[in-house]
Amino acid sequence: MEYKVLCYHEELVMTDQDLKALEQRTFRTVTDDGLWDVLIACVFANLAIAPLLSENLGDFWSSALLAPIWLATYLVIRVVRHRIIAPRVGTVRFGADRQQRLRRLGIVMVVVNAIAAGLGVVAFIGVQLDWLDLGNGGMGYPLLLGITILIGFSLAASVTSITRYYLYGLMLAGAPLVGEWLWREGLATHHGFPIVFGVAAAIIFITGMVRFTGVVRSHPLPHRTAAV
Amino acid sequence: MPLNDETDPLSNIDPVIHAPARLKLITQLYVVEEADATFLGNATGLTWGNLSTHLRKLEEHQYVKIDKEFRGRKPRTVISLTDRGRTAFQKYRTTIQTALNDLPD
Repeated sequence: MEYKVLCYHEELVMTDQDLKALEQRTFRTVTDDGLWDVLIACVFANLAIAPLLSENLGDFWSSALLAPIWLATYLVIRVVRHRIIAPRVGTVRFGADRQQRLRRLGIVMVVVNAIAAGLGVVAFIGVQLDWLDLGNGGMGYPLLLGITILIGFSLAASVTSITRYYLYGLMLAGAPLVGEWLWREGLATHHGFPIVFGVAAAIIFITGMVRFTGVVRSHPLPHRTAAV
Repeated sequence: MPLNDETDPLSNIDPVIHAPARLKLITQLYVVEEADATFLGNATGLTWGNLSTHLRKLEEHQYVKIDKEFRGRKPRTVISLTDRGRTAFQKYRTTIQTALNDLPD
């Protein structure tokens, strides 16, 4: 204990940089419970499932049918966070600066997701837009989709300080390119979307669940006395 | 030089903040707007009894504000740093940095 306290002073936890690092660590502790990963997996699983459903339901309904599932997942995540995570980890309200950055990230993510979804739909239904071809022999759609996803995840990783979002960005950005290649080689149907986004969503889902289980196990419910 | 010399930065250290447990609490509260007791207990590793004692001490000096509220049927204790507490911590940072910088290598 004494040694820790000495370090607390010697490392000068009170410098501006250290306080910023402490704020980031606090943010990660409260928010990085793996549940956002589950939601991300759910969103990208849509890109894997929708092409398969479209043969029977058509392009519009195959995507529209999955929207309520996103919403239901989001609501379940909110309930789980409220009922399971908050009593164990505790709750924190962050300063105005952090809240403003999160609001900005929210707006950017809505725009990025809208562009990515639009490009995904355009790529899948095969609308021919010459300006999107980019002289890449038809790789324009997956390339733009990949870049958009990468930008979105890089921003999210930067603002939240959760570094695995960079890895998700790289994996999901590469997915449409690999999918397109598989489709051209005749190794996959539907531009490879069911395979590449299915695998990526599964990896992200498993990572999220492992993280969630770890948080729950490492934060048992506190046995409160009436003292606090 | 006597140890309680007013020019000695160590003699100006705020004893309320300087206690390790309270220093942890106040540093943690300084970087957020407010936090509940569960989070502070986890972050500092203090038992409920110790947490309560140190928070009460900080409250006595008006460094923190403690609000008890109900979320649904469950009680929740929310703690935030007051302006006075924030100023005291800033002063403490300056004092301790000066004191450590003045130490011979």
